[in-house]
Amino acid sequence: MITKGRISAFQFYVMLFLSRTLTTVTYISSYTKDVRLSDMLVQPIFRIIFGIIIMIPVYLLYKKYENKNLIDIANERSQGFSKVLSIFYVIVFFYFTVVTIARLDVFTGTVVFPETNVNFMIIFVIIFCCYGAYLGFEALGRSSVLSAILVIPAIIFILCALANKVDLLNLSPVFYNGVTPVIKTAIDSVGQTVEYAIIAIALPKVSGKITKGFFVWIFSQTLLMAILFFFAGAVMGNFASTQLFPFHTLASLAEFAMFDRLDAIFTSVWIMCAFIKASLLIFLQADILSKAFPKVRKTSFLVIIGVLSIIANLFVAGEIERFSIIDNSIIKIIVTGITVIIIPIIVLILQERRALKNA
Amino acid sequence: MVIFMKNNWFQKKVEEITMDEKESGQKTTVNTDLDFNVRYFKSQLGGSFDIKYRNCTVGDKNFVFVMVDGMCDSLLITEQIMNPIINADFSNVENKNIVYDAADRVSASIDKSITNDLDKAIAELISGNLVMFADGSQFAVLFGVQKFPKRTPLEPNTEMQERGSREGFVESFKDNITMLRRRVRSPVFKIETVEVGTTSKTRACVCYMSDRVNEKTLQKVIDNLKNAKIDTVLGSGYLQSFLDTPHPSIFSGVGFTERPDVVTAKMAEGKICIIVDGTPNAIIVPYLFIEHFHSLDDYLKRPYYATFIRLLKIASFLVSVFLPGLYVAVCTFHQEIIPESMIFGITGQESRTPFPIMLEAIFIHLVYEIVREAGLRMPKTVGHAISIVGALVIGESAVTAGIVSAPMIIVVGLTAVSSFVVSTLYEPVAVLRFAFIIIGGLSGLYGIMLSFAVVLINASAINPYGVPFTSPMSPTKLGAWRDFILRSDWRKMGKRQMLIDKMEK
Repeated sequence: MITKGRISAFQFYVMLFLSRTLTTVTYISSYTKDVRLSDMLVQPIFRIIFGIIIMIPVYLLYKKYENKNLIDIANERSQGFSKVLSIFYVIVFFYFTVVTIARLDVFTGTVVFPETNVNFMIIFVIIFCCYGAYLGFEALGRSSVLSAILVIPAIIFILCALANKVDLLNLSPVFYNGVTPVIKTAIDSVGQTVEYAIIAIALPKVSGKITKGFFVWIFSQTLLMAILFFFAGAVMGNFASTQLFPFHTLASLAEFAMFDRLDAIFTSVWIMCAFIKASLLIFLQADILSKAFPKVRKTSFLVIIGVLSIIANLFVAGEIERFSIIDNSIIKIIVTGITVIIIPIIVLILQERRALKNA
Repeated sequence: MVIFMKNNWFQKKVEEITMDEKESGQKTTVNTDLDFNVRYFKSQLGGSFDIKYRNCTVGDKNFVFVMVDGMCDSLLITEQIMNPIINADFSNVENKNIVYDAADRVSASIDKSITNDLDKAIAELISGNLVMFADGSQFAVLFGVQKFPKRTPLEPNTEMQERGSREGFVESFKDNITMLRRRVRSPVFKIETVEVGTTSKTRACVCYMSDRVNEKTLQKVIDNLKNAKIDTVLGSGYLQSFLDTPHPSIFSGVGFTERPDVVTAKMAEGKICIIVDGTPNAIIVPYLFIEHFHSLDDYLKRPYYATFIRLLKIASFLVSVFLPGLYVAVCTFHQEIIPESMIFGITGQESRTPFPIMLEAIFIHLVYEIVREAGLRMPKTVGHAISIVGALVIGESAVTAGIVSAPMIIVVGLTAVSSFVVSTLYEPVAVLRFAFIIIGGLSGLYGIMLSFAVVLINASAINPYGVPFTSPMSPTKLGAWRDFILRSDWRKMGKRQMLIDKMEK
């Protein structure tokens, strides 16, 4: 049983909230061409349902083996199987790390500093994230709560500053193109949520009311998503779908007293969330590898992951075609499906068969 | 030191020492030959002029008294120790029992102990004790007669209070302990002494309240002090790194104070305070980030005002860390967020200076730090000259000459004043300020936010005694929020004691 390095369920879900907030605020409109922004207000309802359904196998595993994740459970059956799973999850988390940082680079390179070479920034971001991962899960949990104290009021402030620009006439009818595209977008959104896989792996490091926390998390981040889409639709109308990063455009329209633009606050939110998400993903990779290969020091894995992340992100940087290949929603849906549904079900079945044999 | 009253106790002690000696092996013991003992002392202490040897013969018995001139109370030695011995009759006392008999004749109000270890006797001698040898005896008697030149307790300059006591710690740890004892008249106030520094052998007193301290934390503090590998300890700051978090951090999980009332308040919260001999600064562990914004005055004033002052301090801290960096970042990369009414003024001023804004900010802050450091070290009489140089030459003239812009001077001035509001955080603030100026100048708000996230996680990782530095904010302990930024009324706060243990993760 893990006693050291555990964080509370509150800290854990705040961390996941920030992580998911990043995906929400970095929403790229071109990925959901068939869906209007008004539909995105309804989409979260489907999202909650799908999110809860796909977590059932992980929940069943957690109920049965409370202090173990599926890699630990697989290790009881076969070390080789456990190592294969470890490497698979590391690759998945590495992929999402690269995507997270690549999105930040695309944003920086296109919106913040269009004329600046982002290579140095990539290197610094990854080094800082590796440092965050090095400080451990507890430090990440604590700093997430502190970051949330800054991030949530910042989002609320931006939305309040936009309140006088809301025009409900900008919203188009819901299900304008039918229900199917909305459901597809909901599946797509769930597929882009690496946090489900994080929950499957990191649960033994969390103490407290995990199930209750999960529901609060899934509802709160869906609510945030709905509110943001409502503001984007009501303030910008269909103009939002012409923007690469509609929420950034939304923030730049916000006015407060003599300040005409609040997009700097939005950028801050984005960076804080990206740092937490990337640090968490890098930490999990190093943690899984250090368990699978206990002879190698965790710090060595952090260095290796850091170097590989830099190489991968430098490869993607500045090439929007490469970015769109790796940021492909189909790949993400498949990866999430395997990590959250298929592998837990396989582990569960294997354990049940073993239990039956032993009986 | 142990006060001994009867010879039978003394005899038992002698037996214990003999047993210990057999178990521990070799050591240089007190010899029955007086000359040997004196020769050993001289060989170890050299010809130091302040070591005084006084020979004394009473009847047929010879005694030698050794002391350090200037560290002992001469009047006490003459009246309470030497007089009774000189006037005593030892004719019927055997040589081997002479020290017990002589020690028994000395006033009971004086601390006495015995040893047969010559090195221990030397250590006690240089701590200000009087050492007495007697011819034919295998033991030396140590008398506690220290008397050092001392400073009167004054209000510490760095921690001025409006309504609190005007007393501050001094260099003598005994006086400091007395100040604490006067404030906590309860047997729960306990002290444990640890010797630190292989050469200096400085005494560090670990003070706590036994009914509320966490035993594990206490043991860890004592172990950290005992295991501190350091040669000389000349101040409490020497021990900071042994008590602090092991990973490198810009902030510290250890606090300092010169005020006995603050130490008492911290002990009442279950914290541990360490008073180091020779320094007026007490160490407090564990220490939380939010405590830098608390002061004793907060608890002596009305709650709403205390809350207002705390908010003001937090705002000042943020201004002193971020303002120059944000100014540089905004003027360099994000001019679009400057309001129209200000942008022409700022850019107009900045365009007349030859340097980039980042270099200008670094230059002016460096000059400020130099002036500040000079002001700290120089004689007070020259202080006014420095103020004039700082205000006129650096401020007025630099702007007139077009080297620095006027908005930059405003930024520096505001930052400098703000940084003194929370003086205990000056060290990290000064360093972070420069870091944010450079980062802001190179990568704008993007870099500042990223670096801020790193500082945040660095501070979150501080947890040397199981109570995270960022508590009660994260981990969130709502019960402790009644004395966090908001300060509740004493009628609420007094109901339930707020202990540091409750802020564990």
